[in-house]
Amino acid sequence: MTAPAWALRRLGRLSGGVALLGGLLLVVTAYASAFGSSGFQLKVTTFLVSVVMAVGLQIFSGNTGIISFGHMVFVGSAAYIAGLLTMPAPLRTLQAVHLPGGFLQDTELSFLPATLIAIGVVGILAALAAGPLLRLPDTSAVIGIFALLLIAGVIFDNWQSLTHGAGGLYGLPPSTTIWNSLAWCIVAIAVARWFRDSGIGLELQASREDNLASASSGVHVRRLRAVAWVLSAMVSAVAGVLFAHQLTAFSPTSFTLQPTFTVVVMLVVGGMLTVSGPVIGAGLVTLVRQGVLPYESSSLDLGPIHLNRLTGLSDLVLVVMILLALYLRQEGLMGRKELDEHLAGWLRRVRPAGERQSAP
Amino acid sequence: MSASELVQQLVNGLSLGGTYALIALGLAMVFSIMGLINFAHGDLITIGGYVMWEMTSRGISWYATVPVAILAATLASVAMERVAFRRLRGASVITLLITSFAVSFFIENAFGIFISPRAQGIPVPPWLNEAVHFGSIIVPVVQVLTICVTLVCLVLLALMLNRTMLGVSMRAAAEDFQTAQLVGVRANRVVVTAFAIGGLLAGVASVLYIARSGSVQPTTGFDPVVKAFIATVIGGLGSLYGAVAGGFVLGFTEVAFSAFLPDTIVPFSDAFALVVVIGLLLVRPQGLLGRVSEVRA
Repeated sequence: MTAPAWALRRLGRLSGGVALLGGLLLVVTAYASAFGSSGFQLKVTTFLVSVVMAVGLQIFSGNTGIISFGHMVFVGSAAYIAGLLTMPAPLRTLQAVHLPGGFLQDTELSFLPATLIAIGVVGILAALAAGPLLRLPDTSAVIGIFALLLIAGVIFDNWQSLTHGAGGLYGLPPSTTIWNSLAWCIVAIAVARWFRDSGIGLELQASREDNLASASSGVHVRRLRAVAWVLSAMVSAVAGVLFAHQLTAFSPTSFTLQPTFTVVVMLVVGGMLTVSGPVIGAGLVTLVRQGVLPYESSSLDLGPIHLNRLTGLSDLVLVVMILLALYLRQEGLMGRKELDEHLAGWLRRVRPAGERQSAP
Repeated sequence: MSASELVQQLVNGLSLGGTYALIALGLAMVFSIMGLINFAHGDLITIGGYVMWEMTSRGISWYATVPVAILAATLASVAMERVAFRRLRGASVITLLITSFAVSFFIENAFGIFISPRAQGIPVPPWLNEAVHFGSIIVPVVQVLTICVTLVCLVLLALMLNRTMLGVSMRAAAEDFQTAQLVGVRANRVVVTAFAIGGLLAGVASVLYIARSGSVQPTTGFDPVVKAFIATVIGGLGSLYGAVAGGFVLGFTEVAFSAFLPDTIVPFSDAFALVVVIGLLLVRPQGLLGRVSEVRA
């Protein structure tokens, strides 16, 4: 096949895959926007933001095979950066936060420029962190990345003049809507799909399957991992900005291990080898959580044991979900094929059977 | 800083590092044999703590709770292997790690639901909180006890690993699990022993740790296990001596940072210690005592 034809085919597959996932999300969004209560719309927005988070994590962890417990650092940093830029100036003074470079203190940016700046700064931060962290052998890298989460936690908690400490920031404009979340979701999915099928993505996947073999066939694993790391941090940054401007107030606890784990569950249950995986996983986790949450405040009588409140029940259910996935289907629901590829496979299997029946 | 203050800080570092070393040893032992970085190892400390709380709140003497807590941590560790990890033997390091995270969250949330998310006080004998005077040097009893107990544990463990058949087979399995199996080392026995010893050491660490904090809550094990994680990376993942060395390096680094940093930066001292550790790994990615066995990508 000639090079342009190959590129065209790739573009076709890419747009097909993005259209399928984007279409599914569009249906949910349009339904919520047209018929849903404001509470329901809020839940759908939260879901869309979590899709961006999970897809952002997939770009790095899915392609490299290194699970990152540190992506909340990027989500959090972006939330702080964009939040500080869009926050009304008087509120900055009220919360005693001081932006570096005096002129910024009185500037209020609108949502889009703040988002772009946050993406850029987080990209630079991620590139700086990539140097030491991705030098480590795989297993140590996982722990190193985890240490990054702890370091960021300490900084978010204590850098009073920038983060307002443990109290967090408040008073951000509520710029995140259900529709701009959907738009960013589709962008994130397109970026992740493009990266997965790109040369770099394929070389990384080769290194994921066999590090030694791919390195000896000339794959510069460390450099490519850094590329995936930075790209995935930038997508995670988008999630952070959306998250911050949906809630309009947040604190460092939003970026600790607990929320990290939720995103990891989405990724593992859906399957991290595909981009459809985190999307499906985020959907499942959201559905199950919403189903379980009402029971958290209920009480339970188990004969001798009486439980007043079931706080943490939804986390317990998440744990059960991820354990089931790990024991029964380690590659997650999607496995190694994207949703559109599964669909094409099913259609191919159904069609010949139907033709055979109709033939005399 | 006077000489006596220096000695006090030294004792601080030794006792903190010793606690980390006890926990890190359990992590390193299991990792070297089956490639599992067991995040749920920290919850053994929590389990030991809740056993002590349950017993002391029923009026049982603290001294009686100590052996029971250690036994409980040991049994919990073995049970964890049987229930959660055995069916995943041979799975990738990442799969095992995520599983251990899930197990840890399960235990934490279960304690939160069935007992309480809030901290529960555990009364310790008053002599533990007193201080001993060596001339002008004042050292808390808990710290002296921690250092002594750590040393005893380390010596016993070294004897066990070097002088007994089981110990030798464990070292062989740590070196190369498959070859060890080929020459007749029983896989299950070695793995279960590693979990049992790890649980025992975690139980001991639990008693010492809780004697210092005086309370237990569902997240008690989080901080120590994270530190032990980092200790094992400093020392070189999978190296037992490395885990001990890493524990002490981390302990001393933390003490030094909180003692010598100016007051305004002290809240950041944990972050500084981690940055130093990452800096150390830049120079030696395989850790202090680790060997280069993985591919340098």
